[in-house]
Amino acid sequence: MEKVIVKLENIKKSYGDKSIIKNLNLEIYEGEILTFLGPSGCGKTTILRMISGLEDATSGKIYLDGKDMTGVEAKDREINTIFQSYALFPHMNVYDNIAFGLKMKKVPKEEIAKKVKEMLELVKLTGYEKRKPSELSGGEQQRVAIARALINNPKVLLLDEPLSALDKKLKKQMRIELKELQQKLGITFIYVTHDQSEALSLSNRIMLMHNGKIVELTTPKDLYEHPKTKFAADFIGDANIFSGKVLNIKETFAEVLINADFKIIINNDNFKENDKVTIVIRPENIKLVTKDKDYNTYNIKIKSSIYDGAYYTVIAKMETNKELKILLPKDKYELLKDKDMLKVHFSFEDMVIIKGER
Amino acid sequence: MKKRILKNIFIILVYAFLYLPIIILVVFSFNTSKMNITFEGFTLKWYQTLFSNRSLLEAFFNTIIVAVTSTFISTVIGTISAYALNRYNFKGKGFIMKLLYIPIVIPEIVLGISLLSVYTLLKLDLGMMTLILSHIAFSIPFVIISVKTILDDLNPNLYDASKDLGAGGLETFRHIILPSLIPGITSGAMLAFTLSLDDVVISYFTAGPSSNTLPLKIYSMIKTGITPEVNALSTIILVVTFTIILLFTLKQMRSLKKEVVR
Repeated sequence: MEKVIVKLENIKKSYGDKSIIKNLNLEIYEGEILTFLGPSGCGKTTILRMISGLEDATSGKIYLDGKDMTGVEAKDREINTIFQSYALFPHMNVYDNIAFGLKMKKVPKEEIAKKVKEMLELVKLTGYEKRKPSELSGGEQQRVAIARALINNPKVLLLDEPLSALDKKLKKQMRIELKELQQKLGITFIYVTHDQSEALSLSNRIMLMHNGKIVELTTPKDLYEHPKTKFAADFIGDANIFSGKVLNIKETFAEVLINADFKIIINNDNFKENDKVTIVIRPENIKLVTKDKDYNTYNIKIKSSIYDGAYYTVIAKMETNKELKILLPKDKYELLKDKDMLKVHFSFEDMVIIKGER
Repeated sequence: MKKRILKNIFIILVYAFLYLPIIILVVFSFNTSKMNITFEGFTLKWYQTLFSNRSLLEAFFNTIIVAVTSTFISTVIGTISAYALNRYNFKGKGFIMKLLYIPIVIPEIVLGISLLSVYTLLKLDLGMMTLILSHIAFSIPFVIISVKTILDDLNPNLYDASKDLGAGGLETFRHIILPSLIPGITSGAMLAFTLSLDDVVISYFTAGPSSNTLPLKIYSMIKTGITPEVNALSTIILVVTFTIILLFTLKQMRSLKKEVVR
């Protein structure tokens, strides 16, 4: 059993009449990277601020390492934050920025100097002591922010969209650096982002949020491959989503009616007639076939395509006028692009079935 | 070509209009003749008489005392007020912000008279105290506005970051906010200082017999005709202010250059 480092119990938060967080319960394990993922305004940053103590919960309790944090100010919590746009102190040089936390704790000067040196080595910024934040690149500022937080040896590090100000290439590089850093130090990371690919590549677990509630809380792989909600399927990665009703049941199969002459056969999972069903199929899981299979073979026409280096994302039209997104390797696409009519197949193992309309 | 000549003539005329009176003032401070009409010869005697004129020197020191004290006090009050106005939301905040502009736009003569009536009502004797109080009163809005402009532009995450790193409210103000405000505080203080230095109207109403200031003294001197002594005094003031401004500009240009190099 893993140790719970942060526990949120019946947390509610509202501003005036507006309810932001609706009764949230959450256990965060020591040493994990947990990501709060969701569209902007879903309340993820609010939760982060309540954990850090910068904001109070309207009701409910937050525990850090078993201790109730109610009434404990941000400055007295063993938690540090990396803010969006870093919030480095502009008038201080790199050294003073990193040393600030220890100075506030009245740590002796020599010890601060030693610790700052260690931190600069950790984030690979040795020799940058005298520079002002305005003299640093985005990635360097990011590293200073990390060093400034980690020097306090926090039990938990909160990261509020830390990579949003960086360009795409730097983002990918910092992702790897952050993950390596976390593995090296073993500190719990709570990471807030609205970027699903960031969440997938960094996290041990993802808490997907919508309108102040947890939609799903699971591993990135599970969330991507077996979403339990339509919202998750739609928010994480690309997906073809078809909603319909069970038309009839034939022993181990169920026939789902999407519209007039578009039916999909799925495995029967205790369905009844007229049950509402959502079928999710990822673009990379749609298979091109040359001959009709026993079930779920459809004719399509290529409408347009987007080149992405290694892959093409193809937008195709089905006979029933529904659009279909298909991910194809470059060579395969170039072989097929001039064909008038193609056939695709949805196999049972490639479809994710979500019961109900959620 | 013709257009360019016209443009240059225009620029020369504008600058002549602005600077000719000042040049004349400086030139005649070295004039041997007492009359400000013809230049008869070079002399420094007016500067000598100036430094032996006790009432003038006294007025000069009064001016400096008033300017320094009122600048210091109004800068402290103004900075704290700006911080409060930026950090806290309370009922009537918008109204208070608008009220700030009234002392700035109100005619000085009205402010002078109203301050005088307040002092009379409170039975305060006119003197250095009332003079300093008046100067503080009209300087505060300028300081508040110049400090608040900087505060409003400050990244609000800085407060959070400071708290997050273990600083209390006072420590955050001292270590994080105050240093960022230095440019705003300096410009506010400079404004307050120059306003106090050359104020005539309000000082006229609120100064007592023992607290004559330089502008008031000059004003009373020219009632009997401008003497080269006044010219000499004005030249000194001019040189001092010019030097201060030059130093500030140079400093600013240097930091600007640094920024550009980055």
